[in-house]
Amino acid sequence: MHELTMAQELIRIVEDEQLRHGFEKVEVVKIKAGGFSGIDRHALDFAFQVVREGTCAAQARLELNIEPVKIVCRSCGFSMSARDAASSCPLCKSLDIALEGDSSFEIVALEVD
Amino acid sequence: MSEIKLKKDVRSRNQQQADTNRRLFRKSGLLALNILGSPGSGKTSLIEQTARRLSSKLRILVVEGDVETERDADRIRALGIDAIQFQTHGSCHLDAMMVAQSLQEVKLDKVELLIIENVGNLICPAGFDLGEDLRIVVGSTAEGADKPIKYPEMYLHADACVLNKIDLLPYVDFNIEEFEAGARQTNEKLRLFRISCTTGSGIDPWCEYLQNSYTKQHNNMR
Ligand SMILES: Nc1nc2c(ncn2[C@@H]2O[C@H](COP(=O)(O)OP(=O)(O)OP(=O)(O)O)[C@@H](O)[C@H]2O)c(=O)[nH]1
Ligand SMILES: [Mg+2]
Ligand SMILES: [Zn+2]
Repeated sequence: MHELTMAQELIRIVEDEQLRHGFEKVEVVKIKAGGFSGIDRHALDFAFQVVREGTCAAQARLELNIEPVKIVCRSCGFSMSARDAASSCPLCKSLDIALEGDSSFEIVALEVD
Repeated sequence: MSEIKLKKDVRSRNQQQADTNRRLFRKSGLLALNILGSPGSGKTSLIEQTARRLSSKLRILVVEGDVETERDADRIRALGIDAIQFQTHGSCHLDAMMVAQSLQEVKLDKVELLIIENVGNLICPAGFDLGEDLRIVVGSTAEGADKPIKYPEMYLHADACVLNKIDLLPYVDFNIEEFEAGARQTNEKLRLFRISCTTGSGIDPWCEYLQNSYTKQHNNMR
């Protein structure tokens, strides 16, 4: 449910930008998130639909781009995108693998009218 | 229709307050801990054991974050240690603003070790810096060894991971090596501790780590 906090912050930023740029309404909010941002797409959409009511983003759609986490094997160097949790390297079976990603969560663009 | 390009961190408000908290903690020379972990992993038990051992050496203040109730703060007060209960009333995590609010009336220069127990949750608290010096994840042998690879966010910015309830190892199917390798997948530098709050096993090295961290922090300040 931290998605609710995140959705509230989204609206706060959008309203800030409205003061600065003076647009009427927002059509799309584009977001870039790291694979470790801990954001659930559906929970964020749901929270956003609740908090956007009565704001300039009341009709806005979220475009959420989550960068996949990467699995990198520290033994053989094999690298792949991690769709499922793994406990060993799929290639050499080494247990010494690293998960790489970041926890960023940023608004990168607004499509406005 | 036009497009406005931005680069705005959605967590920036929390981050600013966390930075303010951290500056405040630095100024008073205390060491601040953010204790995270799933419900029932033993966060409060760890704080009780830590307070028992360190309260003669360091002045301790505990902030308990829970969705409801004063129960955890009462457990700490029963040991004669100062505790503040912060009720989040539904929020699944503490944020930096809540921490600042709970500490409003506190004279921080009288505190040497500030321990903040986050809401029991393996996902949400990970994204919110509180201004802590050390982030500690508490896991337990009753939860299954796959937790670090299922909830990697939790370990990403952690400084140490305490595996609690090792007294239960004979009774549960838990592979300690798998757990620790999993924790290090996201964070190679993670310090690992194996403890039991019930038997007291492993608590001494953990307390030593805290004392050394406090000394380092305090010397940096001067
Ligand atoms: N066997 C065993 N039980 C433990 C140990 N540490 C804690 N427990 C038990 O685990 C339960 C939960 O402990 P707490 O310390 O309340 O856990 P917590 O993480 O603070 O829980 P929440 O604040 O509700 O998220 C209690 O019944 C403790 O007695 C341990 O080392 N071994
Ligand atoms: Mg507790
Ligand atoms: Zn490999």
